[in-house]
Amino acid sequence: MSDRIAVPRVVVPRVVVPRVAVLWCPHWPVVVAGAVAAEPVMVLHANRVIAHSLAAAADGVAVGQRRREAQARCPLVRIEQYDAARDARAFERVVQAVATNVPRVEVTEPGTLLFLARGPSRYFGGDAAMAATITRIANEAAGLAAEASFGLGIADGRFAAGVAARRAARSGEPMVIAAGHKAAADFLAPLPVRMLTVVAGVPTEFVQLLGRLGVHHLGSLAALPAQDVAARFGPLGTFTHRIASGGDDRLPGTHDPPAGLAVQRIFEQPVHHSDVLVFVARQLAQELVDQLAADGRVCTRLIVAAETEHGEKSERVWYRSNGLSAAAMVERVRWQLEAWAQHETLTAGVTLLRLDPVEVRSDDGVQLGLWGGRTQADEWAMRAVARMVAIAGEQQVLVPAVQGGRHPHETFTWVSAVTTDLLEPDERLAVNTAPWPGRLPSPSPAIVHTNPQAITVTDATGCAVRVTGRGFVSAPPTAVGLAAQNETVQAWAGPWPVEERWWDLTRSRRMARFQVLTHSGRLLLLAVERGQWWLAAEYA
Amino acid sequence: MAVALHATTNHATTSRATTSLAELAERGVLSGVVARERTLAVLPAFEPLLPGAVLQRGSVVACEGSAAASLALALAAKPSQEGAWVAVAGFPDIGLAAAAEIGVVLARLVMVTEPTANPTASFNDATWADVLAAMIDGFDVLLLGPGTLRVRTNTARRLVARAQARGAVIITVGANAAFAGDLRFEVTQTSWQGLGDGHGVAHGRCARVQLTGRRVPRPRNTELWLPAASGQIEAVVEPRPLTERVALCPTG
Repeated sequence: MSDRIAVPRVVVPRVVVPRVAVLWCPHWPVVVAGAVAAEPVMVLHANRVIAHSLAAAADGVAVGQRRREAQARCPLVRIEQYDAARDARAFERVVQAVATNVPRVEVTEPGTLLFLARGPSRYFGGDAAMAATITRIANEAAGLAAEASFGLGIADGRFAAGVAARRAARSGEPMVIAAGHKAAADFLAPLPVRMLTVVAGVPTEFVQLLGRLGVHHLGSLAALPAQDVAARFGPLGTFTHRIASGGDDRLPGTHDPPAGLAVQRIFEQPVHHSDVLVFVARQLAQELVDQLAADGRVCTRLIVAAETEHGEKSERVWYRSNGLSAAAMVERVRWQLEAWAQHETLTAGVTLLRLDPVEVRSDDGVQLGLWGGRTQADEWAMRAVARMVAIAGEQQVLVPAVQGGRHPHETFTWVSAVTTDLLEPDERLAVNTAPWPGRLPSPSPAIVHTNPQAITVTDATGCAVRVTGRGFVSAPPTAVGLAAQNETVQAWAGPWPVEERWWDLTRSRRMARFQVLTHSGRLLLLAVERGQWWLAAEYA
Repeated sequence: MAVALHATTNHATTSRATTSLAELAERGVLSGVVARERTLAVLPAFEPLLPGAVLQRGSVVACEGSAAASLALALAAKPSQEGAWVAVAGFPDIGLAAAAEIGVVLARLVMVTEPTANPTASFNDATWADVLAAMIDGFDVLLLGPGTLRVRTNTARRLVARAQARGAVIITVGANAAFAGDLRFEVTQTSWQGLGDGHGVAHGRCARVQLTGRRVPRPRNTELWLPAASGQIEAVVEPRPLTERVALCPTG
């Protein structure tokens, strides 16, 4: 008879924040590049510094600078190009050494790995003892000196542990944060919000916005009411609020998926080339991502397993907090296979490749942009460019850039694809709207000879046609002598004289251009300089 | 999924695996990039000429004749504008200004050239095979220039099979016997407008284009402005005698 309405009990799952150890090496690409302690070295990706040695940092080189800016600060710096596969191969040694002492090692990216700390701590006799042992093992495996060494941080939650690892790398001593949610929050509170970008990969714009709103420390972010942060910033706000207050970066909706999502391929004929495996991995990854995307989910932790005919196995857990795209999966497969082939002598070809998603969560809007932004086509093209650079060399893979000039070969130039950011072409292709006096009108020739061919141009009497200093033609051209054959002239126009850099004795040029239409229908662009005729371009 | 696994375990070797992938993609079993829309759009001028008014992904198109380069760029223009990436191989003399005028988006154009400084270091068949395979994996349109004539017929056949599985369109500039074309465009006759006897400037080209090929029962002919005076690639609306020339004031 009571008027109380039975309210269905909402079961809120208690989120257990795991105790995690993170092992992190500062500037791992530089370590792989083999920097000696006092040598300034920096590693570039898309023309920006992504890692540098301590000596370079002393001269003012910082992550995120452009190449020129960094070189201006430290002219002696040695430049290395970023190569994720090389970094991953080198990191495999460390992963193997740690994995012999600790179960279930997850590789986040080359230079960072994490594992659950509770079991190993008990085995080694406490967090501090375990941290010291693992750090020593990792440093020995990587062959690192004490001053540039791995940092190991242990805390509740991945974010706090990651921050602790960075602190530890700087101090040289492992850093152990006491167990419990409260201790992690207290540790994080005085740290700047910039840590969100550095450790958790939160977009810089968001962190700058926090700064403008007066939220400078993780503690002040955590002190805000969670609902208000969610209302103002959406999922990203919820996420940052949770990790800033000592929570795990694993979303509450994350769960272990039912078995059967794994995709695999069995090769009846063992495969000996990693290219083939990567090609297959790409199809598997796409299949997996599509399967998950159909339910609006994304994989955050993936087991990649490969097995040879003789039973040799390679199995790695890969983790990425904001979800693994198909391209990211393929990249990790490639890292793993290359490292495997390098560090172990395999006796047989690979017969099995399996991708097993062991942790999925709902996709909360890291979708590809509908307008602008990266598309899947961009992503695949980036991979292909990296692959082509590996095969052909970086001077052989080129992209266009605006240069400007009077001649067809001068309006655009080619630059190496690795020195520019392919997805931000505005800089290299910013069209200068100012006119170039002396430029030929469009249409432009579709074939521009990089090495112009010497030719002869004759008049009706068979004498070479000359152009006087005042721009007069000695006689109308009637025949063009190309390397292959002679062609008679049907129509022509010119001369269009050009005088370049007349103030510079060594680089000054005087030339005249002609358009010549031959009887076979070819329209040629000819240039005459000091009495010599050249075939400059062809309107093919 | 079960179908895909079953089918691929039956086809063990990689070359057979790729052909089976093509079959699977056609039956719609494979999803994603492999079997995404199997066509690429073309500029309106080409629509009446092509079967279905589109380029089939995985096809090989040969462009021959005196306007082959412009024709190849014009075919690549529309896909490029719609977000496709264009790769150029063995064609270091490609005119970028012309490509931009025809409508190819230079932001999504990548070229691989052979080392020029040292002629002995030029690519052999195996290097081209690796480079082109990487291109086919990541790009939607490939423009192959005369540098790729060194690719052998067997290699080319494997690459074409890969392009069919992956859905890339291969366009060859000039005759390339190794890459047997599904479609063959040939520019049979051209006439330039605007060029006089010692005066004027070329501003437009009327080209007669013939299309032959496997899916084209009898040769199709059309006349295109390649390009028109406006810079666009257009169909010639009222065919005029090819010999007529537009008189122009001398530009001096």
